[in-house]
Amino acid sequence: MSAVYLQGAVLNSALADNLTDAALAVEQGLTAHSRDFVLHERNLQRNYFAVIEPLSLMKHLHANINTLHNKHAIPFADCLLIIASTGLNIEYFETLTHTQKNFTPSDATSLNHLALTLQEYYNFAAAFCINTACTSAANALLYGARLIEQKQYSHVVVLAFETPSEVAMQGFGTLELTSSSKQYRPFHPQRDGLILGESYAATLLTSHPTSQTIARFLGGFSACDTSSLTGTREDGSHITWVMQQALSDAQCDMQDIDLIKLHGTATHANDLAERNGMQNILEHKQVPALCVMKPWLGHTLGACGLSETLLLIECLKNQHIPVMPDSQNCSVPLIQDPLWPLKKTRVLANFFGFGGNNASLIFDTGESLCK
Amino acid sequence: MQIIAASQITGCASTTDKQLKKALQQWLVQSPRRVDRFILQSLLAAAAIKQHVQADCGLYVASTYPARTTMASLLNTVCAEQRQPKPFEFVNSVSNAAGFHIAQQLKLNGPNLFISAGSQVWQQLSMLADCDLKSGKTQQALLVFCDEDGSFNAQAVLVEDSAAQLATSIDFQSLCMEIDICTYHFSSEVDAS
Repeated sequence: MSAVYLQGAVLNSALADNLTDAALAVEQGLTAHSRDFVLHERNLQRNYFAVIEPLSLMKHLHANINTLHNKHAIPFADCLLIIASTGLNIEYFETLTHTQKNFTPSDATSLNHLALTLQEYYNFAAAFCINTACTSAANALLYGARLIEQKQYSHVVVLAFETPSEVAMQGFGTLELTSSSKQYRPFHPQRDGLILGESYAATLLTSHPTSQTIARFLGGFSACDTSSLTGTREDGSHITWVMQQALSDAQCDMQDIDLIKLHGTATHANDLAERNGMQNILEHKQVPALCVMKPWLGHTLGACGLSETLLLIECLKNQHIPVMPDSQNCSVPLIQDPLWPLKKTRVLANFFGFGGNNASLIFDTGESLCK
Repeated sequence: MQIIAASQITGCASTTDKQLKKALQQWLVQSPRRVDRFILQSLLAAAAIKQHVQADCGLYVASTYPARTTMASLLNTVCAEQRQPKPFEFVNSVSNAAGFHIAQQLKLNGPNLFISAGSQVWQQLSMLADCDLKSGKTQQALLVFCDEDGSFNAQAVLVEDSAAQLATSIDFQSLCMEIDICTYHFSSEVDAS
């Protein structure tokens, strides 16, 4: 596909309420703001990476759009809004259930409610939500870029978020996928599951670069592995195929990739499948550097495609790369040196999700993006 | 834009899940287990035209509402009763669960998207499908729309070739005006085709 450009980035996460401070926090070895919750019936304590200053969902979303608009003057009337989230306004439903002591099917508002509200408020040309579980934001970036390439829209705002949902916390708990050690360690021999995270992220996609371009999106691929609703096939073959298709779409080869951002949920099945899917790459003479982002943000579910991408871009801008502590014995050779020497980096980023959705994105970040 | 096939499945609030499963058996050898009403409705619309669908078909699903009965059950279990949710209910609550089951039953291995449905749902579904058709990533696109607000209406359209720009106001009937739509209606008393 033709290149599409990311202009500007907004991220409010459990690390900091802005992207600059979040990248600094990573560099300084700080950890995410964590709070505990209890799994119902089992009375087991788990933790959650929450933003430092809680706001209502609409305040977060307006703040992100306005921050983006103040820096990049979004031409709303020619711009598509894509919202990426698994929970959408689930927090409102949860509050309503607590208040009423009951929730009836007719209490559920439409899935398009938030998109329509923001479309009407800002006068976006159109708006919809993409919900493909943990690949939601990755798909929003991929299809937003493709729609620009095909001249359907000149600009696309991608707004990705995940709120602290009780249903998600208890749901992942009941599937026994949440960490009991409260340590987020993807690919580590003692990994024991994921830690969910809250985040609100935004970016603007355009067809032309500017002096404020932060990344050049080269392509990607997304497809459904129908072997299981809750994970991809263990041999990693679908992951390998998706990465190959993404490279083909971006018209490059694995040897052009400097860094692979792994999905790395720290669940047994995901990490095993991703490790197996990486096997061919790991056998190459020159293996790209490998990194993970979830230990700093938590698993931000539908938002991870954007929240992890933006934090990684900001870290690379500072020529720093997140290095997970005690990662020498991981099942994949994660990067050990936090100093990143390259001024321009080509990244392949993996995102996998429930519903069998696997996605890989490829982008350049660093100097000379305007050329 | 070439429309290959289309289906429309309608029913009312009193149509039972058992009726939906029974109807599904006429198109599928083995129906999926532990699936909710929303998945069954979406699956019915897709299964009705499955004989026309190729493996490299992309799937683009939209819905007006989440799986409302599943959502209500989950919220009551977790928030009102302070209990752990049933694993299959939690997994079914993911909006793209319907897309997964359609892809699994129809053996589709291409792109698989789920979007919220607004007034421009058919235009948006075809626009996303067009991204993959134009670039040759898929040769076919199966567009599915499910709407349940008391009664339900599940529609599917199979297209080939690059989709031309559709009017923003296009609806299912206008989209399918040149082909026969495979219809199935569940009456309030008994299911009938």
